[in-house]
Amino acid sequence: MRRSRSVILMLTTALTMASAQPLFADGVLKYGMAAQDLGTMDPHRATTTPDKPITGWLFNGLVRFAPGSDDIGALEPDLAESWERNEDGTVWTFKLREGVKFHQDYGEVTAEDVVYSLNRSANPDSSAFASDYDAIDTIEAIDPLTVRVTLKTPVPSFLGLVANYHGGNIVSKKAAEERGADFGTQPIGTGPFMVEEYVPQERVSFVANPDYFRGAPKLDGIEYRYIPSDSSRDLALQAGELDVSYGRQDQEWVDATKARPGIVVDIMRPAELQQFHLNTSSPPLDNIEVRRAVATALNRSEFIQFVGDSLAQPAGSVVPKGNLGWDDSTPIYGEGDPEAAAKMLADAGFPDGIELSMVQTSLPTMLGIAQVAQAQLALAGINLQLDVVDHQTFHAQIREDRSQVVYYSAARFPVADVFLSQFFHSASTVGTPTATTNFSHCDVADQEIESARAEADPEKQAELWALAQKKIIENICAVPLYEQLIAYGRSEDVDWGYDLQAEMHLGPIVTEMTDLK
Amino acid sequence: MLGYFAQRALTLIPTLFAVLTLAFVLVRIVPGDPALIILGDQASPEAIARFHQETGLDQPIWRQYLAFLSELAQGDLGVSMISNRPVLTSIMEVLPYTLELSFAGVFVGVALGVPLGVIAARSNGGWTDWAVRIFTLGGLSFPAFVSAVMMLLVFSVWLGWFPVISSGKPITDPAGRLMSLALPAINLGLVMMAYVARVTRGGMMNIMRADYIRTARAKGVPRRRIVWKHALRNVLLAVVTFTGLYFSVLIGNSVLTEIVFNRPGLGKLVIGALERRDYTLLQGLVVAYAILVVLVNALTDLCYGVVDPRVKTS
Repeated sequence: MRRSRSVILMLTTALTMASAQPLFADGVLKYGMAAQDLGTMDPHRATTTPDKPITGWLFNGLVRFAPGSDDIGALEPDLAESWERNEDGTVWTFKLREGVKFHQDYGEVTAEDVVYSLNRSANPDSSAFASDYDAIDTIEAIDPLTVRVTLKTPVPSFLGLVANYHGGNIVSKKAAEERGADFGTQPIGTGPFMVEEYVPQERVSFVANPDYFRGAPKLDGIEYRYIPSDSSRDLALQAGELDVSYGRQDQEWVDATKARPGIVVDIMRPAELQQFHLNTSSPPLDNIEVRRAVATALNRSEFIQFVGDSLAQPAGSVVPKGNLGWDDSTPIYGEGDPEAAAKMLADAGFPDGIELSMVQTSLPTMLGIAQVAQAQLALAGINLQLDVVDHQTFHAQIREDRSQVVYYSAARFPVADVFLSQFFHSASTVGTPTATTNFSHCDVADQEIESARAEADPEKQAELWALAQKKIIENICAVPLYEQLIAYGRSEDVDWGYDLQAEMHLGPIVTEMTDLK
Repeated sequence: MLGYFAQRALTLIPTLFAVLTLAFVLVRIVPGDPALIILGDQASPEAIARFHQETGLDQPIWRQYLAFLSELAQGDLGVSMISNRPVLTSIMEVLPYTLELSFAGVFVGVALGVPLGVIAARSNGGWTDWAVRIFTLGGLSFPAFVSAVMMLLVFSVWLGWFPVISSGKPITDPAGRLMSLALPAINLGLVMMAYVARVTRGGMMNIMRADYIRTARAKGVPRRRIVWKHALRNVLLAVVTFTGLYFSVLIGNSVLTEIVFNRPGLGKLVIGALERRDYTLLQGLVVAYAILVVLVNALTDLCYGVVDPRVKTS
């Protein structure tokens, strides 16, 4: 008996000693992400939410979105200290900042690196964003610190394409050529933090870049941890093992997390626009009166109630709010009037209601919305059949044109052209050789979308975009439901060092100003 | 004994072949496309076609299968479609964590379950018996992920004894590694403990009525010696059989445990590979699991010999 007691004592002591040791060094920000593993750190390939924040502190563009802002009208100098354009916006000349160093021993940024990076982004073999750069004709290095980009046609908000986002990120030519496919795990950029170690399935560790051109970061480093389980991430945040954590995107989580001492919730844009795309070529939805009935039966304010005020904001158009060219002058339906909807159906020759089939992802937040819609439509005699499948199956099947109604949630590069082209231009129609994500087979605004793309005068361009939105809304290609913001939990000890309103990288980025109290 | 294992290994080949074929076809029949994961949901059709060409996904399925088999015959599991890392490397990196967790789980299950079962049997119908039976019923009723979250809440958040994120301590930090193993192993072991205790209890109750036990008693052998040596040794055969069979359940539970405790391991790898439609990694994992299950069966047979000397001679 005495022996067992002393064993227990020893064990307890050992446990206490082990847990008393600090788990992480001070000055290292612990950032929890809802993912199994890293996809890639190659900025020209990083398309998923968990991969994007990383590129925000590894790389710079020629210009940048101000930290915490998604305003494409307020881009700041980044690697370029100044730039000028010709009259019609087809020739852009950038003067690079002198003496900016790449991570490790990869030397200073020269015009060669910029030329290489932008060509790499425009090449579909090395970039997921190649089509964004279709309009580029040539990229030349005039001298070691001057780059000239010539466009075939003017591009709406061209500066956005050379910003610190997606293909605009500048990589080290030498490193990218040397490392090839390994660049995704051993990237070399110019940002405030650089990769120290990647442990598969577990974390990526970053250390501060002491030579960062805006000054050495206040933090010593970042631990970017992959924790797929929502509850584990929450517990780790509570226990102080994480400083920042990707939230569960619903009101219940926001309220519960806010209530915990020492923890705050950051809510940010860009908002993902949630829309029901109605297949205009599939009966009975090919009848505009039937589409009108669906749009009238859906109740937009109920969706906002369902998701919660903190995370949902009203939609105003068929492109996300804040996009360059967004226009909310045309009413977008969604009144939630089942009687009126039932009458419209009866007038259209469907007195007994209709049945619609919908392939739906099993992602919990999206499934909840679809079920709310199902209940709303049922009141008007519209039977929405949900065929619930896992997320990858959903993505595959909706691209095979197998769903009459497609519930899609998306944010794109914040210029109306991108969203309009991908979702509402006939060239993007699913099932065609050039398909992207036009699930509604919408083709009523092709001309306006194309003219706006080539229009050099910003005012005329805005008018064309507004007209395109009006036509799409009036043809009821899609019914906007609401816009979903992004929530993160954060320890009060974290000071971002900037005003976090929005983040193009879909998660707060860590800058040289970010600090831990 | 060696001949026996050689025979075992031979029977493994057709099993493995069948499992592999099934896995190969299944992952490809399920809708979904790794190209969309790599290239994103804005990918152009040309880019997707190019990806299919590069990875051989544009070939007919039988041709893909032949290519896979010929690579496998050379001991090459290929590279991950998503990360481009060799599949074998990815598996070997996390295999120690899974082995460690499984064996620690079995250890907890047996080391606690057997004594509990014996104690319950001894008190047969007494209050300790009831207590053990209620306790084990609790163990049986908790899904692994619920008990895991509860343990994290109590021991990591409230008491602060263990880390919430229990992953990735190097082998050079044995204390840290043990700390991060403790809760997941207990979680995995608790359910098993419940089963083991019940198997042991049932076995003990039967055997205690056997003739040879009565003989031993009549001879005046001390009760403690009868229970722990004469009776338990026979019950252990059932426990070993059960443990071998339970191993596949344990693997299933270890997936959930790995996710909640955020430990690296095969289970986490499987979930990730499924979500991302990483065909090559999934195939490699099926091979790994099949080999693991067969090895455990062999190990179970070996244990019979240790527990019961009669097995060796026959």
